[in-house]
Amino acid sequence: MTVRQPACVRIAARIYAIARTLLLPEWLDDRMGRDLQATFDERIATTRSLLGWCAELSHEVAGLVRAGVVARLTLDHVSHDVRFALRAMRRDRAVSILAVLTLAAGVGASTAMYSVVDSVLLEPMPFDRPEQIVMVNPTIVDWRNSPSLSSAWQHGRFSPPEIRAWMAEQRSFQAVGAYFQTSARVLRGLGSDNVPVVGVTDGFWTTLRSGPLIGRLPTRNDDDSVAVVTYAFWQSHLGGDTAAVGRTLRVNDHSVRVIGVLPRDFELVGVTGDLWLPLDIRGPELDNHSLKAIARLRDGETIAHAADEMTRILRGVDAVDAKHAVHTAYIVSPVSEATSAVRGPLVILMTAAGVLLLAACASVALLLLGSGADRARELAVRQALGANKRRIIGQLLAESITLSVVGAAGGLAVAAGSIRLLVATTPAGVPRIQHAAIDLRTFAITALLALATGVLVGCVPAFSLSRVDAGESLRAGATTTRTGRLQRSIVVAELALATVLLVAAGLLTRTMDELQRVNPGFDPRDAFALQLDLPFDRFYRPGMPADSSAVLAGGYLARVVDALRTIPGVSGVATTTMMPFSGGRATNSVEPEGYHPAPGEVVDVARRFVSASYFPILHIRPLQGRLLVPADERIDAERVMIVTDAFARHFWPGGRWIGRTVGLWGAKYRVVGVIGDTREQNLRGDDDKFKFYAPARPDGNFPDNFLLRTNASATVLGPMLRERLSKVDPGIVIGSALPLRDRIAKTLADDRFRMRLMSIFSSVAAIFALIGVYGVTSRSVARRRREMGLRAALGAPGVRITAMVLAEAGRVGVAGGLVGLGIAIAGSRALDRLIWGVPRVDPVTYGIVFATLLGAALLAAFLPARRAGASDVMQALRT
Amino acid sequence: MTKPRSTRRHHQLAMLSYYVLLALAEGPAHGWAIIKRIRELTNGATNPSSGSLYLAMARLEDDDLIAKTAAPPNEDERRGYYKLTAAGRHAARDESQRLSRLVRHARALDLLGESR
Repeated sequence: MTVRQPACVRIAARIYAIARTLLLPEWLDDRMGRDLQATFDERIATTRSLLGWCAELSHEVAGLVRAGVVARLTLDHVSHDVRFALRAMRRDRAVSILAVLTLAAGVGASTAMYSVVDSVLLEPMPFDRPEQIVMVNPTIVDWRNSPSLSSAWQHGRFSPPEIRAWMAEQRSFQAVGAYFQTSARVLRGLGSDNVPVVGVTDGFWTTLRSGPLIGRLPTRNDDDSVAVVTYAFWQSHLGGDTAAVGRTLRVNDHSVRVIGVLPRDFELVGVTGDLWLPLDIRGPELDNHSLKAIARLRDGETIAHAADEMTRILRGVDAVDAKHAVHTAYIVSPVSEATSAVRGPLVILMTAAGVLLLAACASVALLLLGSGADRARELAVRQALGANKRRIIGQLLAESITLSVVGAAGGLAVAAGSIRLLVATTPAGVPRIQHAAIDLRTFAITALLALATGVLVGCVPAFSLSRVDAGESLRAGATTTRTGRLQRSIVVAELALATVLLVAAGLLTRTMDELQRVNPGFDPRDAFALQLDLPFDRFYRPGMPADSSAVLAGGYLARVVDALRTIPGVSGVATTTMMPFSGGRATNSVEPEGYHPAPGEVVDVARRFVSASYFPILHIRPLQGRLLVPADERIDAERVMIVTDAFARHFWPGGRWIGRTVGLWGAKYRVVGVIGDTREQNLRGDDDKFKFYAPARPDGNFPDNFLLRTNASATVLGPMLRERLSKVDPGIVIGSALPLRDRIAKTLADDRFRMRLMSIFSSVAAIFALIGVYGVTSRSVARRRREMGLRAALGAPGVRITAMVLAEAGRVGVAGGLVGLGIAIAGSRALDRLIWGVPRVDPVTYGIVFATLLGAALLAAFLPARRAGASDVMQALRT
Repeated sequence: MTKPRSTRRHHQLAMLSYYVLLALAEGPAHGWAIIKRIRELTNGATNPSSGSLYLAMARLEDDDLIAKTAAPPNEDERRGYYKLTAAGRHAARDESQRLSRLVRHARALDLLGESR
């Protein structure tokens, strides 16, 4: 194939010319560009085929790339420009410091948030082919159709027969493992520790394909007298000694031999434990739903197909107990979904940090533009003396890039500090956050951010300045309206970004407010929540008659209660099987008298066994009937229960609640009282909707949660508690001890954390914007001194001039606010999962943010405006 | 703007710079002619791009080893012609002697494959 010479040569010449200007440093192109082009033209003209043409062209362009790089590294002005930039920075110290700080804040916040997101959401799990690992949950698909169910049913659990059937029949998975999370007392020195424990089947380890750091992992043949421990536990409890393998621990009064240590990076999101023991799933209880499962998909297997198969298998098992589970379907979701609860908030916070970075860039651009305006004359002189525009732009770019590199370095420091702060202050429950650190990837991203910032920031003033006509700038008092308009637009953008963040912060603050105002249905003011790990299991040894076990355990509990009651300042003690706001759930299917569930409805209500003193300590009063009395706790007393309002209304819509019976575990309980609804899991109201409270009797359901009526703080009470309890039994472990109010407040930790972070981001953005308003107004006033003086000379009162300047700032403020509100409304859906009790587009929040920011903008403009109003006629005209 | 002269930079000439000096030792030439001559001298093993060539020539010019010169009569006047300066000739001689010493050494070691 022949090349149509003239056309091809022309095209190649054009391409080369463009590449040349793009790739070569300007000085080199100025000096050699013409010769270079001539040489290239001659050379390309000698090609005889299209292939040759392509080869020569790419060879030549590659040569340009190399020459460009080498020239810049060895001969270029870049280092000169950077030195010049550093000199300029020293000269304009205030502006530079402000700019560097601004960038450090923006880059630092983004980097910190990105690092956290990286470790929490993006980091792959430390397992082989992690994408094959899935979490498996039974679920009641249409739980919303059963009024008694809460959202917890989305992630239901397996009963032993279900999981056995599934494990035996499934074909979709290479390996499946069940696990059960609990806690145990581990003897350490003279006392005991309460440590998280996970019981796992051997399939759990084959699913993860993990191996031990030292020792071995349990196999099918091991029973729960052996355990593997985490690296952390090995370090803290076993001295990090390799001889620890083979040692014996006392766990809940049993001997457990340590057979292995897990690798340091072993972490399965959502499953935490120090001790990992073999789990026995041979139990017959179909209604004991406590097992969770993980599994590894076969190659090429889809989640949907695996879920179908599982549903089929489990429907067969569930049919045995039709009452409980015929409606139960099952889903299979990737392990990575364990982070889904925190993903939304984190992404929003990261976006907020990104917005802050944008605001920081805008702010720096304004600063440089401002100081650039002051330098316009200098640059104009240089331009007039023959410095070419590209050179000046290059220098300005070098200046801003130097600034942003310094800013980014500062940002890195800010990020390092912020990450440490974030990790320390983030409430528990965000998985893997403790691994957050500035890693190389994050560092690269910071560097990229800095460079992008430099170009972004550098472009704006560089191009608008170089457009300034030399002659125009040289004339004294020449106004640069274009630059002024640009500056005002940047301020509008800054105000808009600040508005968006302020709205988000406002909505989160109002959410927090609403949550704190929620009445949980009881008054926690006098209650101190104490969770103990009591060794009831020691009374239930094989071979002991159940009755005598109950008597022994009951006596033990009474001694503990007595010890608590005699603590000075404690005027009452209550027990319960479920501490409010402890994160635990205990539910049962019950048979309310005369109630026939609707087709498809599953009945499952929250159960609590409490002492009679529970209600007065929490200031709960009956709506109907009576509360529990001590006589109800006697083992020979009639079985009675208190139910909540929603419970009674749903099951007996006709009224006449007192005296109705409820079937539970084969016995009948008579309803003696009805109390108002309570929230015991979270203040947002996503609670088990119906609850009953039956008297705690010494026949099985032994509580280890205590409510003390006292106003003492944890610090005062703590030592006393330890002393009294150790007199009863040194083996008692205090799980947690703090005022109930604090316990409730803790459940709001996530909301509070997000609110604080968003408030910080938005305040910083607002400060950027206000500095912008101030700077632009004062510069515009300075620029228009003559005009102001003239107006004053023509008789305009100072107040009018002040008002004029203020009105201008006001227009900018209104524009920024409106744009920001628009963006906020458009993006409001993103906050849906975070806000509660406030409408997504809350007029109050929006109004307050708008008014506040506008007011602040006017305030920021006021000083320069007053200066304008006080313009001295003569002085203004003289300059 | 002038750049600081690095005396060390050409102490040992880069191969491409040496080729340029060799090519210009035959008389003034322009870029394309130099590239063609270098290809011939190296049997086509070295085929510098225009960019690399002119970067090397910029350095050589900065160090006064080569200089711009008028186009010879009958040639295209718009092309930039370069000639060797006295310093350039000197540098080319130094480098040639250095290489020659190395070749002599290589011959002594029978690395040239001549004594077969």
